[in-house]
Amino acid sequence: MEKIATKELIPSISAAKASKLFWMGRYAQRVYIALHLLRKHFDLTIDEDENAYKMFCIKMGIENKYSSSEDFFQKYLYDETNPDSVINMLDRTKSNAMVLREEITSETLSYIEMSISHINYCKTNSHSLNDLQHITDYMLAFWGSLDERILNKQTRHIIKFGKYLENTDLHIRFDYPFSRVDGIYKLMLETIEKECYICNKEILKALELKLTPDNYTDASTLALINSLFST
Amino acid sequence: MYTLVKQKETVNKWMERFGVRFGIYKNGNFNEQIFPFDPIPRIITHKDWVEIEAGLVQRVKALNLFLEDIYGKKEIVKQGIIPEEFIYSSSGYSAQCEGITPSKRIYSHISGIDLVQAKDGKWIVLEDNLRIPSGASYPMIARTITRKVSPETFKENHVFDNRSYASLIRKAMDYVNVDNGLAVILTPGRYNSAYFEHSYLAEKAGVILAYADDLIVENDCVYYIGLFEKRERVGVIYRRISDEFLDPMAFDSTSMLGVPNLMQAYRKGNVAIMNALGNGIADDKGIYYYVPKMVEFYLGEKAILENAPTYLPYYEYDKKYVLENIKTLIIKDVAEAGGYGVMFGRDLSEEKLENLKKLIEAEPRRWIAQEIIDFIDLEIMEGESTVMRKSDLRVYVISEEETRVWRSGLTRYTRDPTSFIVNSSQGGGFKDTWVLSK
Repeated sequence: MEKIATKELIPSISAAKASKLFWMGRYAQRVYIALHLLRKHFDLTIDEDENAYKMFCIKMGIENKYSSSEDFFQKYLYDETNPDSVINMLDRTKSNAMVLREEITSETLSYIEMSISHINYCKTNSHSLNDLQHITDYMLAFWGSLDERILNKQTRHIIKFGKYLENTDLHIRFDYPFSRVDGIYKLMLETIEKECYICNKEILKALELKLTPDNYTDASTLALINSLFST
Repeated sequence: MYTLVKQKETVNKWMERFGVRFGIYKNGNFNEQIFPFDPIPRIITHKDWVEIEAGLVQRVKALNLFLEDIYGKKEIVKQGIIPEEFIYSSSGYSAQCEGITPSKRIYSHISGIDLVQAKDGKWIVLEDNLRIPSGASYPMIARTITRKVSPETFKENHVFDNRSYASLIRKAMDYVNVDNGLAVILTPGRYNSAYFEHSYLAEKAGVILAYADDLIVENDCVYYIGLFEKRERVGVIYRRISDEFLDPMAFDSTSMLGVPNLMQAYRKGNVAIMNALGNGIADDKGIYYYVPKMVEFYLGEKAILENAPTYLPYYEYDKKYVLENIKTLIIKDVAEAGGYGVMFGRDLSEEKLENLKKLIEAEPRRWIAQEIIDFIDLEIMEGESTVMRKSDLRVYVISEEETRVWRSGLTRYTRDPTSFIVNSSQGGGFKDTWVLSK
């Protein structure tokens, strides 16, 4: 497939590094949104629908391998052997981030390290979702630190491309209104316009046609979104 | 300093936050662990430092001249100072490096010299590390943290700032850079025990952290491969990969960590590699014996810093002494590093001593023996109290236009009260090293 013409090439970022920047952005945002959505679904289990977790699994597109709501909240958060778990999302964020220290700075990386320390602490010392608020705070600090400390705008944009792509994907999955999805998508487009050489032009064109109030929740829209990144 | 000591846990929390770890392979598994930090610093007085600094500058200048000589004219061999056989039988000698003159004639850009302080106060050189000496990033980040945690400690004491290490490295890289190309640190990857250091130094020196796949040699020049195969010329590589894995076309053909044909680009002078290839000859434990003689030979000066009393079984008279006194000596296998291959005669059974004697008889060049130095113990925190433990000191010497000694160092200590082995790979911890400015 044709790629958009190269502009402002980044000679000091290899394809492997660009891929890690992108995936770090995706995983970090997945952690943040997953915690947000978990709180919303947990709230439903209090007095509205004790099986709300089942809908969470369907929308997230993960297998429901949980025996109960309690089992879900424990294993989805803390089970390292569960590839879908938040602890695993954090681990993948770290796996990408730790090999990008020189790009993102030690200070930015430290928010991921602290999130991991905190989730490990909560795993054995806490049973309350509320205690994971620290991780949400760390993730927000992580994004703030990226803006503050990464001076190379291309690096920032590739990470944010990953972030907004993940955000668009999850907002579609969880039935957010079109206006909201469209707003996030436009943020993503801003990063693509600046770094268009890391996305596939043909897929981008097809996606533009799908992102309408009538079609945006189609499964094919998600498939296009998830094929957009290309080095 | 009291407030700093009280804040040990806070310091360690900061270390965790910054991911200050080292990797270790045990039983085939890779694990990352926090490098235990002790808040009580090693303190080097200004007076001691003046001597150490002068001694190390002298020593490293001589070692650089030795390397140039060995891969060039070989005057030190011709003059009979070091036996020819001693050079060519060393596993550190690299025939492929014959005739190569690195950029700006610098071979050991970063030298890690291991010292101990004897109980009479004298500083003694234990080892020269001229290949890929690691560890400087730990005291560097420790200082960054301890200054945050206990600023008053540094107001009350006159300590040289050590946070410039990465700038010194960058300056050395810029000095030897060929044709103003990119500066990169070449790492074997995240499963290397010193990966934290590679990435931290790349960050702080403002250079690219590259992996083997990121580099390619074309027309005898090295290029960094950017997005969409865009090439950018590389002028200097601070490699953190051993010689034997650096170029599969020149050395170990099975290496996946190296860059094919890098040696060819290096030979043509199209890229600087720091430290230079072939430096292993100068930090061979047997060659160590000759360093004071090198100082005299190349600089016409008497060595300021002494070696530990060392015997080479290669010489008959030394071999006789070693075999007769083996119980009181430390025996070192010159082919080993990282604290491995070090044996205290007093700890070996009669059977093991006999076996060792046979090995020394059979391969005298493979061994050195040293008197056990009664070096000073340092205080470390254990719980709420302090205990005394063995420690060493690695001081880093940077060679560029000038030869400079970084005013700090890595102090490693053993946590085992019965052990002299301080290596992190064997469970040791580290301290900050304060050099007093007054």
